[in-house]
Order: sequence, then C-alpha cells, then structure tokens
Amino acid sequence: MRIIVLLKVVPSNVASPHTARTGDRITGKFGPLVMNESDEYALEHAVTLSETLGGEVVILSAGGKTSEKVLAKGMARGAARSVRVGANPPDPEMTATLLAGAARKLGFDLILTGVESADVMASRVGISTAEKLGIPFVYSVREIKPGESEGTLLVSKELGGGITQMVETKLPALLCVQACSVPLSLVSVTRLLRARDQAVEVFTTKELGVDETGRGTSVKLLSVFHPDKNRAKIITGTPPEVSARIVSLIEEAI
Amino acid sequence: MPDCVLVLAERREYELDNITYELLGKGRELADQLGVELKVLVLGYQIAEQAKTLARAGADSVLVADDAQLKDYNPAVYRRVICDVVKDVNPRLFTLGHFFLGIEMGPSVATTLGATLTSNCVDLELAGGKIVVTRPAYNGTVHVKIEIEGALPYIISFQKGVLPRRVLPARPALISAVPVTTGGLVILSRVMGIRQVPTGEVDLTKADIIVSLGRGIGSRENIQMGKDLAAALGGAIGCSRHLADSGWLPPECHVGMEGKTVAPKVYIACGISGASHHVGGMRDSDLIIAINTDPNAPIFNVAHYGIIGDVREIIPALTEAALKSSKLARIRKDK
Repeated sequence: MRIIVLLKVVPSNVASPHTARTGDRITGKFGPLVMNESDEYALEHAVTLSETLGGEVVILSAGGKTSEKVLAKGMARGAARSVRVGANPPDPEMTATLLAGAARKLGFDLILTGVESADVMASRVGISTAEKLGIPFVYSVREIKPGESEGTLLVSKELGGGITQMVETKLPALLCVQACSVPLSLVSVTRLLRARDQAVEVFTTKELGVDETGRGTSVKLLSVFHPDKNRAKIITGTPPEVSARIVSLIEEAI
Repeated sequence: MPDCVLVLAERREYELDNITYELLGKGRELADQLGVELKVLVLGYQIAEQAKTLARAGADSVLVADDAQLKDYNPAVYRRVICDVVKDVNPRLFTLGHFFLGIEMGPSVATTLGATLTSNCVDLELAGGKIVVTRPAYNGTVHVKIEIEGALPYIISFQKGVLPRRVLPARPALISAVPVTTGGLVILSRVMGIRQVPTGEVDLTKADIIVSLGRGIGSRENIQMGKDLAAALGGAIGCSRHLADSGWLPPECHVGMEGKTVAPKVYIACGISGASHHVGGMRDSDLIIAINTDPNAPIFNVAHYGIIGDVREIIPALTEAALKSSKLARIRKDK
C-alpha cells in the first residue's frame, strides 16, 4: 500500500503591516516555514494507516528548495520518502496539475491531504487533484478505517453541527482531512536529527511534461490590504482597568 | 453567448441554508447589472417545497434536480448533474457558497469543465466589464483584490455571512425540472450512515452571554478559568474548533460553521484568532468583545471591542470584576 500525502509548506503567519504586492505575488515579512496545519494531520492519519495496513507513506509537495527542511521533518514524522516538485505554481489549478502528474509517476493506492492551506485559503488543490486523476474524493474527513471488503476504506465525513456521515470508498481515493482530527504524535529529537540527513527527491516540471507557465495565471492581483474596515475599538489599561470597562459594556448590553 | 447568472442553492437537512438567500441577493444585483437572467439550481430528493420557496426568492427561474440518486450526497453524482446544467444554461457567472456543498463542487466542477474558479470570496464588483473579487489570504490576516481572467464560466464561491441578505421583490419564477442522467458514471463511494453527537445539557444557541475559548487559553488546565468567567457572568461556555477537536471541551461547545451558529447578546472571544470558519458561527452576536495577544488577529475585524493581551491574565481579572457587579449578580441568581 502506498499512501501519498500532499503537503504544502507555508509561512507560519503574515502578521506584518508591510505586506505588499510584487507582480502577482504577495510579499512581506513572513514567519518561518512550517507544514500547513491540516496537511500535517493528513500525514498523521497516513502514518497510522500504514502501520495498520502495511506499506509506505510518501510526502509530495510543490515548491522551492527552501521548503526541503520542512519536508525532511515529515520523514521524522514517519514518511519513508519526500518528493518535491520543483515549481512555484501560479494558481491552485496548476498546483493540482503538477501534483496529479507526480502522483501518477509515483503510483499510489491512497492520497491524503488537508482541507485548506493557511496562505492561499482556496480549499481547492485536493479535490482538483482527485478530479484530474479520475479518483473519488471525500472532503472534511475526521476518521479513516479499513473497510469491510478489501480495497475499500470507511471514513467519517463532517457535515457540521455535530453530524457525521459514514462513507465507504473504493481505493484508489483521495481524502481531505480536517485539522485536529487526531492527536499529533510527538517526534523525538533523534528522529528529527536523522531525518535532516535524508535527501528530498526532486521532480522537475519538465520530467512531468507540464509547462508551469504555459496556461498562465487566471487571476491578476490588484491589491493587498489589511481588512480593517470594522476594526474593533481597542480598550487599553491594566487587567483590572480593562475588566471594569468590559463589565460595564456587558451590563449595558443585557 | 453566456446569458445568465447561475446560483447553486445549498440545503441543510430539509431547509434551504441562508447562504442560498445571500447568493441570490448578490446574484440578482449582478444579473441586473449584466442585463441577464438569474437562475438558481437546487439538487436533492423530494424537494418540491424547497423549489417553491426558491421561486419566491428573487430568481427568474428555478432549476430542480429532484431524484432518488440525489438523496444522499455523492460528489460524483452531484458533479455530473451540476456540470450538465452548467453546460446547458451556459452561465457567465456561477456562484456558490464556500460552504458544505459549494466548497466541494467548486473545484470539482471547475476542474471537470476547465472553468475558472475563485473560491472563498467576501466581495465581488463589476468594474467596467471586469470582475474584481476580494478574498482573504494568510489565515485572514490580509485581504486581496483580484481581477478574474481565464476561461468562462467564472465560478465564484462566497463565504457564508458576508454578503448582505436583501429582501428581493418576489417575481413569478419559472420552475423547471432538470434531467438527472448518470449513465456511464461509475460510483466508487457510498454513504453508509449518519452519526449525531448527542446534544449536551446546555443549549448554546439559547445563551445570552457566551464566553468562548480558543487556543490562546494555552492548556487544558486553563479551561476552568474560562468556565469560572462564564459562571460569574451567568453565561455559557463555547470554544473554537481546535479546543473541541482536542477534547478540551465537548463538541456541543464548538461555535463555528461546522459547529453551532450563535447570536447571543454578548460574545467574548478569548484567545480566538477569528478564522472565517469560527466567525461564520458568531458574527451576528449583538456585542462582540475579543481578547487576543496578536493585534493583527482577524477576530478584531468582527469584534466591537478589543483587548490586546493574554487571556490568562485578563480572564481572572474579568471574573473578579464580574463578581463585583450587582447587575450581573441578579442574572447569576436567576439562572
């Protein structure tokens, strides 16, 4: 069983007032690179499943060389290999094209990924990749178990308001996993150190037969701004001072 | 020539979700500006009543896919029907919710048809024949304005609760059935059942005051701090997805689009960053007070009042202040 985890490496935050636009990219003072949160949970599910069902976990990511340190950490979390498609895709559709091509090249039984990336927030790449590969997808997944018959999985999908739908899917399939759906296991320092020496494999866009710039971007970035239209009135003071103010606001409101 | 604006209706159980009316309001405005018809598509099984409701909601025509195969949501079947309708009516704009159905069908339909999708939008303007949308990026700490280019139709999904819900003059809309043809479609997944988390003792949707906790609370041990504040205010305790999923508080405390939608008189967001999933479940509260260490946290964009600080210092001080208030003491007594 080969499980591919589509994992995006993202800046931990963008909490900087200096964010600006350079061409069609957002530039600014970003935090350190980390694994995208829901993708990290997808990796956790993948490692647990591979322990139950046997087989290996392969991390697949599209991005620049700076992402490799983070991808190596993924191997410390239990992935056997990390593969980076060396590209800087202009939009999620192109990301999906590249990841689908790389997944086909690797071969797989199951693909797991998160529900949303923290930077682009499109909730797009997982489902589009499934459609390009012609495989079924289940979105907003919390639990994954082997199904009753061979070659199937039984997954629980969130419908909101505490309601869960149980879905049986044939393999190969793609599942988009919710963040926080399982506790993340702790990774020992020894494993982290060992993973640092493991090489991240690289696929080029040429190898995949995709012209990254060929399709062109379907969006033109006009401006980047901090949404401060409805900015809250900030109350300042010591904790007892702000507390007294809040209590009087509450008294007025009820 | 593309000749309409198409809206995808979203249902929750047997009712139309509010996102549908929000999309219809915006859709009407866009259709009028473009001088084209507004159509709405609804999918499900035995949904004649909902189709009639939609016919009074401002669209020019209602397309109804009513079929037993659409009873349980199956992405492959829904995608097939939606793609068939899109090919048939050839919309210039196809709008859907960045919500349960739309969040999946947007990418699924766009990739299948080679259409241009822009998801998770909060606004759309038509500017001199150009389509400009506003959407969040980087966990909602910034917004971007982008001009959409590319292959028609333009598929655009909107967050719930951001478009103004307008009361549209009812016009006699034409209801027509659309064919559900799934020939040749291989169904590889099926719904096996539904599970419901039991509702707890407290109904969050009925509380006047909610103290809601997020990751900023730091540890499981600190949850009690929040509970003490809720008790001092005579209110109930809520939380973000992260805390409910981590098991620090039960699932019925989860406020957000995937959890409970609440609109109390007072909502105090403690250490909650304000991701759109959370905000979608509480933005209609009368008075929103947010406490967070990060001055750029998106929660301050929906809060009326904000305190930049550590909830672990503010909450105990606030509890103490609440216990001194005679008005709040009466509320505590009534509870």
